[in-house]
Amino acid sequence: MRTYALRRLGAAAIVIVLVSVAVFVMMHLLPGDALIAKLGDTGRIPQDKMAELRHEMGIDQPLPVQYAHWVGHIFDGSMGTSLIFDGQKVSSRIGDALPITLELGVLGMAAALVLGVPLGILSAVYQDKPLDYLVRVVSFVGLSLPSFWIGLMIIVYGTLYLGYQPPRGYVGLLHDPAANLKLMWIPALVLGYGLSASIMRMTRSTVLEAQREDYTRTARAKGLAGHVVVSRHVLRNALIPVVTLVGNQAAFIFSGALILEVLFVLPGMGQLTYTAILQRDYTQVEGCALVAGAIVVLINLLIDLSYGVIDPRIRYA
Amino acid sequence: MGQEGHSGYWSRVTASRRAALAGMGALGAGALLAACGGNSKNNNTAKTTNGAAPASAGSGSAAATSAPSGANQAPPKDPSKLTLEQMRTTYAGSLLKDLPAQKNGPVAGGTLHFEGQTPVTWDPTSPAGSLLSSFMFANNQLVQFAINDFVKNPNFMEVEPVLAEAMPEQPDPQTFVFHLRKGVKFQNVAPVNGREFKADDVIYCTQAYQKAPAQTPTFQDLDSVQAVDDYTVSFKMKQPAAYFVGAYAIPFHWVFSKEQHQGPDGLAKLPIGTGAFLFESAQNLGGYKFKKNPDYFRKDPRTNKPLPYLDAIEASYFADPAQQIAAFRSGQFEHVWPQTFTDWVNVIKSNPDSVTQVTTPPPSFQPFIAMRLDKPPLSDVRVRRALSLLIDRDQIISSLTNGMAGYGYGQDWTYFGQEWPWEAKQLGQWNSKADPQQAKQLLDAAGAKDLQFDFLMTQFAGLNYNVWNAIAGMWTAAGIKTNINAPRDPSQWQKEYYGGTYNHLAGTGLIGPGWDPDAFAYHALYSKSPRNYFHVNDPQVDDWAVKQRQTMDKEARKKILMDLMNYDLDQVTRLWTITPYKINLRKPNLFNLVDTEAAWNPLGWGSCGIDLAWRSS
Repeated sequence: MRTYALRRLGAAAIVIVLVSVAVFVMMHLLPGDALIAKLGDTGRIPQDKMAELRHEMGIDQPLPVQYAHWVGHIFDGSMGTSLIFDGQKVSSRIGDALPITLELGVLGMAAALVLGVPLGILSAVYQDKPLDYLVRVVSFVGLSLPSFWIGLMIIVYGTLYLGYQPPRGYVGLLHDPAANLKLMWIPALVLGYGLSASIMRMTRSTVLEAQREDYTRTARAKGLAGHVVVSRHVLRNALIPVVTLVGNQAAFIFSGALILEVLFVLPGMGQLTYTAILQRDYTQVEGCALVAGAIVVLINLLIDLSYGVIDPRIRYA
Repeated sequence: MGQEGHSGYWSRVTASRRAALAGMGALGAGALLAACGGNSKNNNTAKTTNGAAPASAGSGSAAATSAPSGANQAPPKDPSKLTLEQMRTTYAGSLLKDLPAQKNGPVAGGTLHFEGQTPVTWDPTSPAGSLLSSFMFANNQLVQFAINDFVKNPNFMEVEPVLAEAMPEQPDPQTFVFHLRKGVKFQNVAPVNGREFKADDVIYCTQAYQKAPAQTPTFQDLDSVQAVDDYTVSFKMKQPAAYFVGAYAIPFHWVFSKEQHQGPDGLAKLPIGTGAFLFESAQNLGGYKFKKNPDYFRKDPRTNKPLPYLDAIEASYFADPAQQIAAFRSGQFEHVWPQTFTDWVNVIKSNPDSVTQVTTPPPSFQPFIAMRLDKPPLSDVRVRRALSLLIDRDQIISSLTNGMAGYGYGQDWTYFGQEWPWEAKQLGQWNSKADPQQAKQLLDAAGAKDLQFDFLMTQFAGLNYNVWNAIAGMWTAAGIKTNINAPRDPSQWQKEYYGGTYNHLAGTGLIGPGWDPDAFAYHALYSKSPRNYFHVNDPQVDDWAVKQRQTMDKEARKKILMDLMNYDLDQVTRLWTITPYKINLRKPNLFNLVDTEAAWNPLGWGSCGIDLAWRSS
């Protein structure tokens, strides 16, 4: 397993470098630049002044030089300075935003698993019963309705009829856990509901398949209680594809979280990256892409390694 | 269908797929009927929270309100039916000083909560400096807009001296002498540590602003700035500069200290000045907090009480307008600016005790369409006139703004003593009423057939985007094709528009930044101005544009500006559309934060008036 893990880490490093180059190139292909974004409503200023400001920002250098400067800043830990937010290091802005997205992602994924797996199992166990249909409708709705719409409905109707108050400002988990969970639970639930839909359906499908296997029939024939058959024999085999799905979805948490971060005003990585792209904050976007890429790769690696734990039959070459 | 191997443990009621689908269909149909049933328009009774009777209304007509009663304005019976004139008179800013609850104050204490986002920088000399016009909490200027419920008329602008003792003396047309207030202290924060503000600070800031992108136009004609003594500063211009004081009042000419500017972090990370509020904290991509400056120098000129009244101000960032309104409804914000008339109606129905104010926006903010005057066929004035005559502005006003707009033109009507936006008769024959027949004649005379234009817009423009699209539709109906390019990305629009590289037409919503008529005359139209995005190149325009900024006599200057305006309208250098009105809402316990014509909202350019705001419990 160690050799496998090291090989995967090596491959991950190559992937991250390729991602950073691709993001760098794509950002510079977009029209406009950080100076134009920063000037905003000030509009056009004399060309010589524009050139002077571009030079101060370092964006008049050839692209390979700009990329090399940025790589250098990775090793000093700062990842460079934001081109838009004067004087702020890219790494410190990521450091402020990342825990929020991770928390939202973890809570969202927890909600997804708490909702998706049990409901998927129940749906499979009670196949073709009203409960099965109900669960499938719920999952269908979760797949169909965009999370931002659900979030918006909660805000609008919650305020009108349920006394919902949009939280004013983010409170850190360590600073005030109760206040933090109070403002995070709704966006986490909305995110989790969207993710749980596919988990529900995958779990249902794999449990149904596992229930038809010989070992399941044997277990029942031995007289084991139904819930014991499901929990000890069916689930462990059924969960492997579900784990793969969860791993893939973890990568999409960033994109799903972005919309919810904007709607529920959570200053996380999604908002940070989106705002940086609009503002042509090249250094910030590259830093965010690097961190996001590293996290996705790491999650996929952990998922792969977890197969060996779930199913002892799996060995790594 | 049973599952293989089911035992009694698994047996439950079995439902067939067909029965389940039928059941779901019935449920869905029931839900649809429930959603379509009921009509809120049948219920014309306004709800009140304090038992006050709704304002009386004529049968079937809009409900005007009687004089405000209790702590609040009387809620209208059916706010959706109010006309523009009723909105303007019922919710005039000049009535706010007569709200009965004003007699209970002003009182000190409390925190003001509103919507706002931490700016990308706190440095007004940065390229992003113009954004800071809405963040003047910790700083002051020599002269500022007057923002409070007791201004003579909020639909006009008043400029008052703040760090200056009085408006500047002018010993000659090129010299402005400011006498500074004595004993004004910077905030007691390192590195200034409460030292006194003096003339050298003004000199230093001016020299920094001369190199800064947003403020360079203000000091374009500055020859020298000198400290006559510790409390007197003299600005000497290269030529008469009638625009100077107006431009200097724009709230991004803050006074800051040399020691902070030259310090390791510069001005970017926190604002320190002589202002009413001390910076407390800011969240990246979030809101910010300021707390009362106990050493603030200013007193309320009406009551002589020390300022600020508020203990703190707290901005929370909600990008989505629905969130902003939800926060206002639930009492989390004391102020909100509804983006549309419909939003205002919905809020006033759910929160009838809210205080409304209607005013006009500054002329710098209105949707219009820029044209490449240097390119055929737009170089032909007949084509431009025809395009303008094809715009049905009345239709746009009624359908997109529910009547809450006037005709548009980018020049400050209040400078000419007019309270409300330009009227049709003032805008010449090409820029108000639609006349498709005359438009066709003009196009035929110009030999313009099969016209097709590239039309650049930006999607992040709210009402403006709808206006541009409506106009494109009107042109299409008249046989003129438009290829709409509406990137979702504002930077792309900025590059093409500010770069002047758009092909034919560009929808835009800002002339300025600026407030003095010079911004709309010289900066927009002078052929060598960097902000002439329209490629106007007319010696007559240049002559007027330069002359008006050098004419100190106000009446003479007005005449030049009016000549320029009439000529500009006749030449149709830009396609004007509408001027949407502003509707502001505040909680009934918030006072002295009137919205004025120059402020984009009271907490926008009006942030300089925040020291006078107060709230009752």
